[in-house]
This record gives sequence, C-alpha cells and structure tokens, in this order.
Amino acid sequence: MPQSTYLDNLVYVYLGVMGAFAVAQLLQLRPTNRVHIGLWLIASLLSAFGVFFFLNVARISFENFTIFGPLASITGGFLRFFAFSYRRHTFHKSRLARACMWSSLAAIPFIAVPALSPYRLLIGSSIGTLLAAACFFAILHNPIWKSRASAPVAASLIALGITCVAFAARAATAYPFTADQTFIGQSELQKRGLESVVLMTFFMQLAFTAMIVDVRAREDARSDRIAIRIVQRNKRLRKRAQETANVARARLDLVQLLTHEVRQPITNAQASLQSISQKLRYAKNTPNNASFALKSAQSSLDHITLSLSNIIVASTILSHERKWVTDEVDAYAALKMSILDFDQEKQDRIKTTFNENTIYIESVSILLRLILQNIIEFAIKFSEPNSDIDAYLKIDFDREMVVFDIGFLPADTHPLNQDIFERRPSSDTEPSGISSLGLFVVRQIARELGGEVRLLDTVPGRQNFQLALPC
Amino acid sequence: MTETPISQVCIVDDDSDFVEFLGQYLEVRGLAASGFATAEALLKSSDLAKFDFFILDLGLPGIDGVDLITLLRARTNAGILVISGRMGPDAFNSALSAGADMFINKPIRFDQVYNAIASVCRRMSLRIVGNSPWRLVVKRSELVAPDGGTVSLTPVELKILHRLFDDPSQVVTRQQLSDAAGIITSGDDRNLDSAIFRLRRKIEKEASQPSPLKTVHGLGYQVFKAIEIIHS
Repeated sequence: MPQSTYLDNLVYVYLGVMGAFAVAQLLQLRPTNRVHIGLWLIASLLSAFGVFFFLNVARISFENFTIFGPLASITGGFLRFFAFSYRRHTFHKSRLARACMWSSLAAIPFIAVPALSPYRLLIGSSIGTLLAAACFFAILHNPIWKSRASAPVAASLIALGITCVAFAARAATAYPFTADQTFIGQSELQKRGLESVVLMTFFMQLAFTAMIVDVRAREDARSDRIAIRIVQRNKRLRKRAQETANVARARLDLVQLLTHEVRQPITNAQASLQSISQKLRYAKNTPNNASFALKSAQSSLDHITLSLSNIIVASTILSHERKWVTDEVDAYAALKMSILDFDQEKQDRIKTTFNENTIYIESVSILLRLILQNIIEFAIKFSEPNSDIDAYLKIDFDREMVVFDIGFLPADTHPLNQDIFERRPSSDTEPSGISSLGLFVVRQIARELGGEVRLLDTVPGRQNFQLALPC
Repeated sequence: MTETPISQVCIVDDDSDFVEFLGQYLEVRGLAASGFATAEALLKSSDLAKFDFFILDLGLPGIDGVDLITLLRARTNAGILVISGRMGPDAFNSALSAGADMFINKPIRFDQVYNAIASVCRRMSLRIVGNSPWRLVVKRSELVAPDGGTVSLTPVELKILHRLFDDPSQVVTRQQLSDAAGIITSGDDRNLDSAIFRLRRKIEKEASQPSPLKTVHGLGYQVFKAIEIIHS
C-alpha cells in the first residue's frame, strides 16, 4: 500500500518532531516554567496519541478515528492555549482569546452528534481555526512572552496565523463544499492537509521552545541583576556598619578616656582622704567638725565613683566589643567586699547571714562587686530609714544558680517594680529621683554573666533583690 | 591576730601615703608589710622569696604593673593582688592573664584589702599545702582534698570522678560521662549537669575550696588540677 506508507512516514516524521522537541523542552525545565512545559508536553502527547491512534487503526477503519483522533487533538489544542495563557499562578485574561476559546469549546459537542457525522471535518477544522486564533491572541496579550528578543514570539504568531488560515481553508474545502468528510484520507487535499499539520507542528514546537529559552534567559538575566544588586546592597550595608562601628568605637574610647581621667583623680582624692582619716585617728586637738567633713567628702566621692564606674562598665558592655575574662570568684568574699564599700553607718544596717562554706562562681570579680554595690545602694536608698537590710547567699539547686538575696523594707513613698531595671533617657526625670543607670547596669552585667536579677515581694511589706548567677 | 596563712606582704604603689597607711593597717592585722614605690626598687632591693603575698598597682612609673606581675609569677608562687584605678576589661584581662590572683578596683578600703588577701589565700590553699594532688580513693568512695579534707561520694559521683580522673588531659564529653556513670539521658544532659552541679557544691562545702572540675563550654567537663587515683 504505497499511499499508506506515505501517510505512515508522515506520521513517523510528526512523532519524531514531537519527541525531539519534547526532550529539548524538558532540558529547559525549571520551577518557574514547569506549568508551561508541562501543559505543552501533555498537549503534544495527546496530539501524538491522536495521530498514533490513526496510524494503527486507519488500516481497519477510518471511521473510528473520526471521533477519537479529533477529540485528542482538540484537547491538545486547548492545553496549548492554556500553556500560552499561563502567567505566574494564574491564566492571563485576554477577551479575544477567551471569546475564541469559548466558541471552540461550544462547538465540540457537535462532533459527537451522529446525524452531523458527515460535517465532522467542517466542525473540527472550524474548532481548529478558533483554537489557533485563541492561541494567537493569548501569546499576543500575555506579558510573559513580551521581550526585546521578539523573533521567537513573532515566529509563533506567524505559525499560528498560518495554522489559523490553513484550518479555515480546510473548513472551506470540507463537506458539503467538497466530498472530504475526514481530515485524513487518500484525497490530495487530505494529504496536503496532513503535510501542513506536520509542517506547522514543527514550526510551533520550534517557536515554543525558543520562547521558553528566551524567557529562561530573561529570568537568568534578572536573577543576575538581583544578585548584583544584593551584593552591592550588602557592600553598602557592610560599609555603613563599619562606619557605625568606627563611630561607636571612637565614642566608647572617648567615654572611657573621659571617665578614666575623671575617675583616676577622684580615686586618688579618696585615697588621700583615707590617709587623712588615718592621720586624724592618731592626732590630738582635731577640730570637732573635721571628721564629719571628711566623712561627707568621702561619701560624695564614693557616689561619684560609683556613677563613673557604672558609665564605664555600661559603655563597655553595650559596645559588645571588649569581653571580660571570667575567673573563679569566691561569692561570699565578693558580697563582703561590696558591703565594705559602704561607710560604717550603712554597714551597720546590713545584716548578713554567712555560713562558713565556700561557694565559687565563674564570674568577673570587679563586675560582681559593682553590681552588688549598686543593688545594696538602691536597697538602702529606697528602704525605710534605719531599717535592716538583709544580705545572704543561697544555692538554688533547681536552677543550678547561686543567688545573692538583698532584702529591705521599702519606704511607702516609692513602691518599686520590675521597671526599675529599665534604662530611661536622662531627660526623663522620675518623681522618686531614681537614676536607672545603676540598676540598668546591674541587669546588663547579670545577663553578660549568664544570670538574671529580679525584684521580688517575697514577704508582705518587704522586697528582695535577687541576683542569680550560674555556677 | 591574722586569719591568713601568710606573714610577709609586699606593697608596690607610687602613692607613698597609701603604702604607708596600708602597711600600718596590715601590721595591726598581724602581717609584716614592706612598701616600694616602683617595680625597679622592689626587684633591686630585696629577696623576693621572703614575701608570701604581693599587693601591686598597675600604673607604676618605669616597669608597668602587668610586666611586674609577669616577672614575679616567673619567680614565685606567692599570691598577687592587683589594686588599680583602671576599670576596663583590657586592664583586668591583662592582669589576670599575666598571673594575678585577684584584681580589685580603687577606691578601696583597707578592710577590703584584708578581705581580698584572705580570699586569695583560701584559693591558694593548694599551693600553700605544697601542691598536693586531689586524690580519689576508690575503695572508700572518697575524694581527698590537697589539704586533707575528705568528701564522701555516692556511687554515681564516684563513677563521674573516676571517668574524669582517668585522663585529666582530655575533655570528657557529656555523653561519655553519662555512659560511664549510667545516667539516663532523655534527649538532653539535664540529669548529668544536675549531678555535676551538686557534686561541685558538695566538694566546695565539705572541702572548703573550689572543685577541681571545669566546664568546657559546648564540649563537656575536665579536671584542671593535679589528681591521683588510689585503688587500694
């Protein structure tokens, strides 16, 4: 059957073109184009199925193909339309494209009507014309296909335009205008029709593959641009962070220089006062008010030194630049040292409960002394005058921490709460006169050392500062 | 009068009044004190070995306090207390890494100095008793401190210490310790950490000195003092 062999060869060419382009399209697959390629491949598979079905069944009866073949091809055409319309999680809505698509969809049931079986070629070709037009408008209006390199899109549009005209011509040469009732057959028109389908399929596959490649290249270029922008932005941010760090470091150095230059002479003055105090102890005929004046001067200097120490430590800790090395610190000794920082009158108010056991914690001795000094200072400041301040040390076995507990009887006028550990702007003056820096420093150092500080109402009428540090 | 196991204290500070009055105070507390204004004066004039304890300032004319600590530490095991007006981490860290035992900030009261000396002496007890090791007496389930104080151990504590003492140069991981002590770990090392925490507190309570165990963050635990295992 020489005629059948010619048709067979045409079908094999058609299937070969489909297969080769399917591989090329799969090689371009990536998450962003998987819907386009997926729909297109299924469409190609359906078209191939339709034609392959013809190849095997044609010899038995062309009638069988007249329904299944066109239906498979038309479904493939719809999927191609969706592939062209798809645009990032949705389908682009072009009125013309949709009008063509719905018209072709409305015509499909007529293919299955037995009474209209002689007109199947006319109906099928009309549907093909409308679907080709729908695809044409889908490409034309979908922004995803618009690019500077317009050759692939132009090729697609030309191919679809020719397909559209070819289907219209086939419809115009179908029954009742001629004797042809099926698309595939032995007449010259049917052979030319199948040849043009194979030819158009080749061009459409080529154009679609080129469009996918083009979109992919555009995505790559966009990714490269974004990557370059990110790199440039990161560079700018790093530069800005570096500048900020430099400014912060310079400020920190200045603060430390200033505080050291002030603190050093004050500590020298304190040492001198201590020496004078020692001398006065053994001197005769001392003026009555000399001791009092000396004590006042020492107390004022103690206050200034504590504030300066807080500023130095706060600036160091907030900068996160310079780390303190930890050492084994005798917790009882640290508490005793902090109590000894106060004058005798205040020391007499502090009631300590020491057992003779030793507790060592991994800490920084001067920071621990400073925070305990601050806590005791605040406990004295906000307690009832002349009331006792309890200071003791305990081990919290549940939390595996050593707890410094400083209890006091709060003065009625200034009830304290957890907010006292917050740092307020220097312009924000509290009616109670609380300067938050000392307790802010306490909280920051406690965190730095891996612990925490809390203010608790453990016993009615009393409050306790609890500093818990890991050991 | 004195509560510390030392008798000769050396004070190096360029503030002569401070040196004089601190010396007087320490003598009242039963300690003999000698004062020097500079590091050079100390190094030239005397036999360093006669001092049990050094009190140093960091801001000295000539040889700096940190350098002096390094020089002293190379020659003596005596306690070194730094009293300085410098308050940043740089001064603190460099003094401790040079070998100082304690760092306290000025202003300082003399009672605080004495308290600091006593604290350092307690920590130095190992050196004072002649560098004796910690001994784990397996048969009696006891840990013997360098000064002879004993700590009785539970079977789990004995296993933990035995595993740690086996190879003191190595950090023992939490998993290895849990396996050795038969501690069940259910996803975290909480049980082991609690056991170590209680063991440390027990050692400090019964031996009155820091435990020889050190936490190596992120890795496990290690013994960092001289140790010995006695099986008989």
